[in-house]
Amino acid sequence: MSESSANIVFAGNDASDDLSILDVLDHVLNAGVVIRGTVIISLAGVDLIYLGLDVILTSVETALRHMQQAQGAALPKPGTAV
Amino acid sequence: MAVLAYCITDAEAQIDVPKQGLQGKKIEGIVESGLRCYISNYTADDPASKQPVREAALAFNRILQTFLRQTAIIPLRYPTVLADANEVSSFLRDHAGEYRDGLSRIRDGVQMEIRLSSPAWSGSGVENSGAQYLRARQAHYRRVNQIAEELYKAVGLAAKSHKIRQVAEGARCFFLVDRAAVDQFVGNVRSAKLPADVGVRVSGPWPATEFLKED
Repeated sequence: MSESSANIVFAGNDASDDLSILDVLDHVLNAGVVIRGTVIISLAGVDLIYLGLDVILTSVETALRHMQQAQGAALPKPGTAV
Repeated sequence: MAVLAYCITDAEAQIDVPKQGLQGKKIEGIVESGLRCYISNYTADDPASKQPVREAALAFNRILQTFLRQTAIIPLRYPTVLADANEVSSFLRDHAGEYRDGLSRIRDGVQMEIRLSSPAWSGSGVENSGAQYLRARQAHYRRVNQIAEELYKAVGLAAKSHKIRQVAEGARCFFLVDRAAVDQFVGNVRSAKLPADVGVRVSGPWPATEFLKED
């Protein structure tokens, strides 16, 4: 391979910019243990049922994909510090 | 009362627990079968629960990072809400063997991630046939793997283990790194010789979720 490596960006883990926020959200929402179950939470005296966390996670993933696409045009080129 | 779960650690790990969890609630540990799960009370009608998901998830990450700086953790995805502390105990009891094995596998390790990407890998769509498409994908995978191999060489002994996952825009490479070796890992990546048209994004340390199970 021919090359020099000018394109390395170090993002850390602290959500200091938009791309880092996506990194953080990706880990918090998509990595880790999932407990499936039914949980009942009362809100203003009405019992609400969490039918399953996967439903929520899927919709967040979709939202993140849309956020990434929307930011696509504004993403820095490789090698640009962010 | 419903509880929000953060992460699981070895019950013996000495942790300086963050003062407050989400909604400003106190974080407590539930010990069961050699594991400790950190939770805080969760009230759906608490005004703090109206915080946007993004802000709450970022706050959740800050709490996880406080734990991760001190010991190996198995994070729970945000938002994991259980009916009460008894459900947490029951969950730990049912999965104790699996999580103890996972924690012993990662020990004092954290996960570093490197995303490889290139505009050329997003797919040009000019392939005229299925065979051409497959050949293009094969070439793509070969090149990504070749670059990943260069990375593994550069990282060397700074990582105890690595994994790769191909994604549409390139690849995600995961490394299990001793907490004490993170700076060495970053330094080694910095010196890697990689193609100039490839974007390399390094992030972490993260909980070592990719290494909890043996492949």
